[in-house]
Amino acid sequence: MKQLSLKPRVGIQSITGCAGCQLSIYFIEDMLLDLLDKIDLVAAPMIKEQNADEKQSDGQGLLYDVLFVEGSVSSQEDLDNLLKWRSQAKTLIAIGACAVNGNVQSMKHLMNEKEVENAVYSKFPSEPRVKPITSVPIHKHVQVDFYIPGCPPDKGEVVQVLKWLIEGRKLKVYDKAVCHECSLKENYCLLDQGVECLGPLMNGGCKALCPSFNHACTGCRGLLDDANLESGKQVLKDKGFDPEMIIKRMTKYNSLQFKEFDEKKGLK
Amino acid sequence: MFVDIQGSKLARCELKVVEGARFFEGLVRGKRYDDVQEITSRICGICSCAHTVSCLQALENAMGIKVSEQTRRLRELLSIAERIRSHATHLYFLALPDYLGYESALAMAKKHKKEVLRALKLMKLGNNMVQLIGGKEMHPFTSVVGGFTHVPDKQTVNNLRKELKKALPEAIATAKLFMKLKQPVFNAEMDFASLNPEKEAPLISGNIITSSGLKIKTDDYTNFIDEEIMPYATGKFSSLKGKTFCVGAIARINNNYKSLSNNAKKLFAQAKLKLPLANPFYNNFCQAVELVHWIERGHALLNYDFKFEGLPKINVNNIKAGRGVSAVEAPRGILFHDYTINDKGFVEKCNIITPTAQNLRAIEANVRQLIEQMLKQNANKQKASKDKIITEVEKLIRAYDPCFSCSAHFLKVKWTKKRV
Repeated sequence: MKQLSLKPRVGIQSITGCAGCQLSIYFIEDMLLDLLDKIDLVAAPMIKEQNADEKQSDGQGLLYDVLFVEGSVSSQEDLDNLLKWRSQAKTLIAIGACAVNGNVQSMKHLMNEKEVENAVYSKFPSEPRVKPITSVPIHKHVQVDFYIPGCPPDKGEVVQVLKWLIEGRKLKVYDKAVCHECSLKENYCLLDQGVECLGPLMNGGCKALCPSFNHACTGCRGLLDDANLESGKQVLKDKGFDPEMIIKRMTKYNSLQFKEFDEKKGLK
Repeated sequence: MFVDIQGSKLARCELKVVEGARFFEGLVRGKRYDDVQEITSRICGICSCAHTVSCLQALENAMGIKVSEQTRRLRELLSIAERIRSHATHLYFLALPDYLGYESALAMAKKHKKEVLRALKLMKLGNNMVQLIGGKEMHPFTSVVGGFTHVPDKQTVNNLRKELKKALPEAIATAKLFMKLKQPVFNAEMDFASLNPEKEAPLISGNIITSSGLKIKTDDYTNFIDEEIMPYATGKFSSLKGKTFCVGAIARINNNYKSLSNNAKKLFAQAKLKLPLANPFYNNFCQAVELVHWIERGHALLNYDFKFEGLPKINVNNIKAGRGVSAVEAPRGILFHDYTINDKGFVEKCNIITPTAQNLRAIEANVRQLIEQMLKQNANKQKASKDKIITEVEKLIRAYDPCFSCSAHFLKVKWTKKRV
């Protein structure tokens, strides 16, 4: 990655989601003001009135050196915005489970879409404005340069990524299962305690937060890129669980990823 | 926000709340009881604790599960913690820049460093508290159907109490700061709804009361609150028995002034305002007064010997089918969760009404009233002041602290003024 200019132009933009990732960034209370000395925050529509627009783009049509995008593509407007931002950003980072994996709103991929929609708007005549796009993560539409998973992402990780970018360093991907950090912490394995946990299949980097508080991992950071679903299911089966049931229950944040993994298996 | 002014007449005024719909009420259908909280928490980043607590209580009501006093206490603390950071964020990051004439709180940092640092301190306190009780700062996960998977240890609780004590002067300073802000003369015609606080857990229980004297059982809310969709928005608009109403800090103080802490009462008295307040611009000040109240309440609630009660055990083979409703006071007002569960523990029906959805109609009506009022004043002075109207409208909308991920993203006032 090329070293960025002295004060990189950083932006945060959001499409459909809960806006929590953006908030997480403002919640870096101790560091926020120092951080803002080191970057030029050109867009943060949630807390700023004046945000970068086309007129301010540089000679190459760029507005951002680094742009964080939160949310999943769930409407035509989302898509239009995303395509525009991509063309304005040197580095585009997907932040949070919505942008990275589609999050809960993408569960529709594994459900009957009509039924889901009717449950909410059935009282009302169907109109095109409530006809959404089935939520997908942003990499389905634009090239994404780096991913910060999690729901919400760890704010320390956000700061670290920004630091790496400011210093012109290579961005490092965390690619170990949740179990890795969990066992380093010497936690008593939840699976062994009879709790349905997806730790073996899911991306870590969260310091095994949920299992450390006796709560099953439900995979907010998505499936491991090389997760072996078949052997994962076998592990769950061996421990006495019904793997199909568990997986159906626990694909909240990454239904689309799960579906694709399953389909790939079918092709073999 | 779409506003159409022709001459000195307001022709159209529509709050265009448009966001990609996520269909939560549909998504949770067919999900098991222990998956629901995690999903509905994602409705909103800033009020995820309120969604968590309301969701769990509604499910427990449906399934006939009683929780311990400690669990209720921890859930209220979670709500208090969220309120502290939510109010601090709204007051300093969203509302104050309007009043001081800055484009953002960050731009204020040079001249008003003290205030910005105070905001960050209060936000940090709230965040820490949510994290220590709920497992993480947003979308807490330790609270589950039947109880908690983890409770904070003694040391943590003691430290939190110290932090809350230290933060009290900051909250008082906040109330004093917002007391000084000048608000326009404006009397909105609407009702104010809040929960009728129960002594043991005022934030997370109680029936609904309004300033006009309505008393509504939480379970009966559907008979009183109507939701409808406007042709220009994806968010739902609500009315209470056909009347415009609002929820939030101002409604809570209007209806429950008596239950405020002494310090909060003292501060409110200093502002020399008459109750009930009819001017929604004062919602900001009410939030600041609440900051003081809830910091004190949180401090008192933490004076307790928390002990891990073990993972909640629910017998999946013996689940009672039924419906359960819960209403809690989220930072922005009453939040309803309503579930129907079958005997396998799966959700068959779900209805959620967020505070912002309840306020949309009031916001729209207030904006209309405010613009008409300003146009009348203008007509006398024969002066057009588009910018002034836009600023005041934005202030008014922001005073409601609309949680726009529940319903919309951000606001732009579109102005089509044909003749002046």
